[in-house]
Amino acid sequence: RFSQFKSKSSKQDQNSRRQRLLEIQKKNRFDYQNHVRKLTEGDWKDEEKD
Amino acid sequence: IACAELPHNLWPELIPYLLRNVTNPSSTEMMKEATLEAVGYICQDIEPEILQPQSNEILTAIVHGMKKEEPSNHVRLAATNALLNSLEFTKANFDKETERHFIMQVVCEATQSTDTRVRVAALQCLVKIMSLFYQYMKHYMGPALFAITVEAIESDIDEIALQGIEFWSTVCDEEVDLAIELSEAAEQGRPPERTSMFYAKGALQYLVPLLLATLAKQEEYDDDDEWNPCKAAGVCLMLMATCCEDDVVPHVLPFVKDNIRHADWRYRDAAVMAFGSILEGPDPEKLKPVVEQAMPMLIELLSDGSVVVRDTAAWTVGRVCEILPDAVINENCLNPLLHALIKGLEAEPRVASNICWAFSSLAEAAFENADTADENSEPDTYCLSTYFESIVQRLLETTDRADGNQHNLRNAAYEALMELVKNSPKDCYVIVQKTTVIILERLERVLGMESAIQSTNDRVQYNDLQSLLCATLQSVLRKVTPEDAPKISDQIMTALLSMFQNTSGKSGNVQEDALLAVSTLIEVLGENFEKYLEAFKPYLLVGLKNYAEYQVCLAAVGLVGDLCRALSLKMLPYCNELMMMLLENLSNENVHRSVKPQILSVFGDIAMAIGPNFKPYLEVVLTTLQQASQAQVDKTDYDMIDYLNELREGCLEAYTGIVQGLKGDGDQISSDVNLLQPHVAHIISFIEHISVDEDKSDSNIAACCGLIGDLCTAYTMSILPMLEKDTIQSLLTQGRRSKVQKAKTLATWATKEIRKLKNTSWSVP
Repeated sequence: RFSQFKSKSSKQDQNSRRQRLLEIQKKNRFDYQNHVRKLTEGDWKDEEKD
Repeated sequence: IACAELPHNLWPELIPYLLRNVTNPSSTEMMKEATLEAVGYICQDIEPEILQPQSNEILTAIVHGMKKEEPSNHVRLAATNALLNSLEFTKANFDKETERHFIMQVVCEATQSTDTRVRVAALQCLVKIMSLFYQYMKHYMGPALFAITVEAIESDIDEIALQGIEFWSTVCDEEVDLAIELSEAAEQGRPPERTSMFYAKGALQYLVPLLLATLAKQEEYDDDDEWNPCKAAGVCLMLMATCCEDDVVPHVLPFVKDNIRHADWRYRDAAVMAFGSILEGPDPEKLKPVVEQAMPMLIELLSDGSVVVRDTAAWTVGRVCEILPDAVINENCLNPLLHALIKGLEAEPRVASNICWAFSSLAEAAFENADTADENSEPDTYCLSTYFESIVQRLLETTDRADGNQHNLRNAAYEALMELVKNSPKDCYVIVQKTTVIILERLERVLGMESAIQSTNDRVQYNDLQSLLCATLQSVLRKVTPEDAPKISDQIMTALLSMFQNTSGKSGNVQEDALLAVSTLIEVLGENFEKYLEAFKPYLLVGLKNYAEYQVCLAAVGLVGDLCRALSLKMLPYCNELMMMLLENLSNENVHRSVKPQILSVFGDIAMAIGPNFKPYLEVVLTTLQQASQAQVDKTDYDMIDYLNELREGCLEAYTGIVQGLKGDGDQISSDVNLLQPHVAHIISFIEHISVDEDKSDSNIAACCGLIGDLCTAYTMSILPMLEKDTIQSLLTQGRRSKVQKAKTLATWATKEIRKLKNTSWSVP
């Protein structure tokens, strides 16, 4: 309860920074793999037309 | 001793012996008290299921000592405390109506004791009973519990009032959970297992006035660490608002209006506190006009004569900026608010810390509200642009305040600065550049101060400051344009390397934030990072070996992945050493489990970076993946279910990287991919295993679908028969229907790849 009194949220504490970087790394990996799959935006649209 | 012996079925006569001591009429008062205390301690520390078989006898003895006929308050207190510790394993007794009635009667009677300690302990029992057995409280709420707890809240004795308030905070917690359970059940089209009785809503009209009165009972010189009814009432009111939503508003607003200009600071503070406490829960659309109307008053109170009022006003403004930012981002309010906030940064640390929080939320909301060409592009300008430079300037000054270590002020100011930089539009870029220079200067200055550190306290502050500067560097780096990044990278890397070198580089937090900064730099520089790699490598290896501080190890592992994506084939000279360390970490049981899925994913990154050069590692990595993909966990533990999903995702990402790396990214499929052939059957059965697991995550589905598509591209028609399975088809269907875009895209793509292969196979005679 004590921590609930006049509590403030934080998006920049070390834990949030850590989580955010992990997400960015996950996304970069995903983009990299999709690039090989030729699923990056331009290619995917061509595929749709087929 | 009991806690050591009983779990091994030793000392079986202990509990019966203790219980006889309590019920034996010839036992002395001291004997009964000491015995009940012993029973209480055992119940407190032992695993509940160990005493479960004897719960009836234990409960009988405890209740015997609690009864109002018991002449000794010492015995009654020891018994009541023992009950408090044994409630966890009394579910079976609470399930039976007569036993439940009896326990409740004894507890309720104990709340009426003349001895304060017995009353407090009995009230604590009621709080715990409410959280453990909510669904059985219907019969007791109206006739007993309501009156008992209201009387407690009104008590002059703080310990008793605190328990009365805590009871209702617990009711709110339970009912919020039940509301969530209800909406989840509705989503799945089934009835909920338990339903809310809406006790909090029913009690609002009686409770809120009591809580408001308690809010105005502040201490003149409040101790930050002391818990008192006034603070408890603030939290309870906040929970009431979350639980009862719109209904709470009419019970609170009149009090706010009547007291916000009260001559006594206690009432002004109570009024602001009450207002700040109900901002979350009620419908934002209904609250918005009320908040708009209140803002001029709140701004005025930021410079109230009482520091308590200034602090509560700043906290309330912070909450408005976070929960209802639209109420302040408008022509009328924004300008006076920003002036007041900038001035507020000079106030006492506790006040200024809240102001920093308000700036963080404002920056985020302003950035979200800004006009952009499309959702991914940065806005040209936003409503804070004209104030941006002075806000940043004042925040930088705040981080330098001599009293910045109080009330987390320095942290809060740096965090606000990071949030401002992160949420800055194009027309503020020049200020971001200037800030980068300042941060780098500070970092260099701080690094030169190392030898001046004397006390442990200095060391803690010094390390914290380095962490914060590294974190601020990350946020400015994310904003720097690709053209500007190489201009500052030498200076940044020099600073980071000397940070790894000096003593503070041995602190886990500093090491981690420095690694995260390097990760960001790699991302921004791409292959231009290569020139730093030789100098940086020793510190990367230190990070990979730091499993005592696993967050550092995790950051180092992630960084290897970043390097792979940035440098591709240029990573080759480093791979032997890195692969060896990663494999070692994977098999080392001292390495925290959360690092292991990341290591598997990074295997995939390395395979993609070096392509056919991954062959020397193939056998050992595939064996490792085979083991990891067969891991099993205790499915009753939610954390372990999440962990299993992460581990599986690591395996899937590794397989994906290996398939893609070996097959090459040209149109011609490299024959190297055939080296993986002996493992394809296992990979497919792993995917099938995930397909039938009802706890799988959407990310798991996405990664499975992606891997299926990759296998189609790599092995063409020969893979088709292995994919003709219901489990695989059902997984693809789930993916295509998923609400998660990633899963949808990959499932649709994989389905098309399969169809393409089928069409080809049919056209071949």
